[in-house]
Amino acid sequence: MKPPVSIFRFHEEQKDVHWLYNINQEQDWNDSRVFPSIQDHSQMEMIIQQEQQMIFLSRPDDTLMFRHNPDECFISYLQGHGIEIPVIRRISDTNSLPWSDMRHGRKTLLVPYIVNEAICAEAYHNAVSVYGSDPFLVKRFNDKFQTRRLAAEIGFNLTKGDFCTNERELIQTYRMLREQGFEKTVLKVPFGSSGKGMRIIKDETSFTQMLQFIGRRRKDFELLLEGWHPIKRSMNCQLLIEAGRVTILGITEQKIDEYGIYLGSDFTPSYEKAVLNSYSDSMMKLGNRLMEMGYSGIAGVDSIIDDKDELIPVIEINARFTQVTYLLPLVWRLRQQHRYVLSRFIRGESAVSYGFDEICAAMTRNASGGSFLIYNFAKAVHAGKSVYRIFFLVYGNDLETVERTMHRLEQFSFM
Amino acid sequence: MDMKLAENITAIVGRLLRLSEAVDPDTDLALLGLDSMSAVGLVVELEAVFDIAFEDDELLLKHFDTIRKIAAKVEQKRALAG
Repeated sequence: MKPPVSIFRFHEEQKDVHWLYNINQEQDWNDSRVFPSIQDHSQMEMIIQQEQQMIFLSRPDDTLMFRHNPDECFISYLQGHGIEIPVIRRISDTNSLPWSDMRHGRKTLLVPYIVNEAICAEAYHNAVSVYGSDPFLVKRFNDKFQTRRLAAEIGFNLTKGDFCTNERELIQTYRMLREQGFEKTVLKVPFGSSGKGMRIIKDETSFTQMLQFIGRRRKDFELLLEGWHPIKRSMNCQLLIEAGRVTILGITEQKIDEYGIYLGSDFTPSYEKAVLNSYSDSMMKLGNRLMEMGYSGIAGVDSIIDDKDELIPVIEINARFTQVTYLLPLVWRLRQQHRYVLSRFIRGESAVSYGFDEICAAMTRNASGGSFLIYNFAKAVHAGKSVYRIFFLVYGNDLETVERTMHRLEQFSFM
Repeated sequence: MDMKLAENITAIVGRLLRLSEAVDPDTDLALLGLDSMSAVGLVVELEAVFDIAFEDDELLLKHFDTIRKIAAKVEQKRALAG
């Protein structure tokens, strides 16, 4: 893993850097109402609080624009772990930034979670630069359909499946995938991360029900139906494309649940040399292609090795910052002294409202001496109950101890 | 609340969330594992079983977080469908 002493050129240049966590842009790009999706406002409130992760990638004299007030005890906890906290500026909305206040004579740079047209237009109007690529390229490479077509052009292995524009094609593709031996299939729309934008179909009954759901809403559409390849390894590669160079910042292993939702990462995975070389070569090939097409900035690439040991290099490209990106400096620091570093999260609720210190103390008792560091503490209060989502790193030099600590923390109860 | 309807919905929820015990109609299903992802499966099955269709603005988790609320929603949709 490349030591991110200075990951970005903009930290070497004299720039006034402002960070913004404009998450959930991707789902707004889906114009199809044909795909089922449930809104959970309390979870959205906690997703916004993931903006705390910007702390770890920024420098002390940067400015972080937050839509929430982090628990002061959590901030003190991070400072106690030697993490310097930049200036935190409270904003109400990512659509109305304090542009005039952002300019301080030096060249101002906005570093958003994801680049979009609206941010670029406003930034241009206010003489603020934006880190990252052209918004049309960002949207293009976040589009699962476009990246599948790009992967095919490059000559990469693909998951089995096809694009479907009506019910007949869905049925044909489903039958084909079942004949090819796929027990489960996955239906996708172009945009959405961490399980959103995709629906795993576990059997024929589920497929029939999904077909009925779609049929009630639209007769023509574009969906991607793929076989759900049993996953042996689920990998992620962080690419940095900057100043005419492609750099692999890190390769991690992802833990995914049965719905395809991200549960955490192994930052210190072990791979056979041949596998690692093959994967790195694929990623450099992809990175160079993205660069030739004009892309610059960060890209997180999700890949799998299936149960037949086939590498499928591009399941999805996240043409934006990801959780792993933000954590790189922190993980690098821990890796100086610890052989293993894993991340996970826990969520729960309680009738009593607990603050960070109480939760942290209880988690410490649960960990029974194992080492961990909380990097995101999110809490929301709804209908008389408190809901929490807590992300943490577990680290150490003995894998068994690290995994035991992780399991203990995963079983933590908020009641 | 239509008890037969509630029983059917309880069975659907129980299968979806892999529950081994009976669910009280007012139990917060989030405590039993219902979230926005598993609720998608619930909505798809409810539409199929009861031949109804939810509007986009009805697809909020808070409308599906107890058996009682789900039953009320389904009854309402069936009544509208005639």
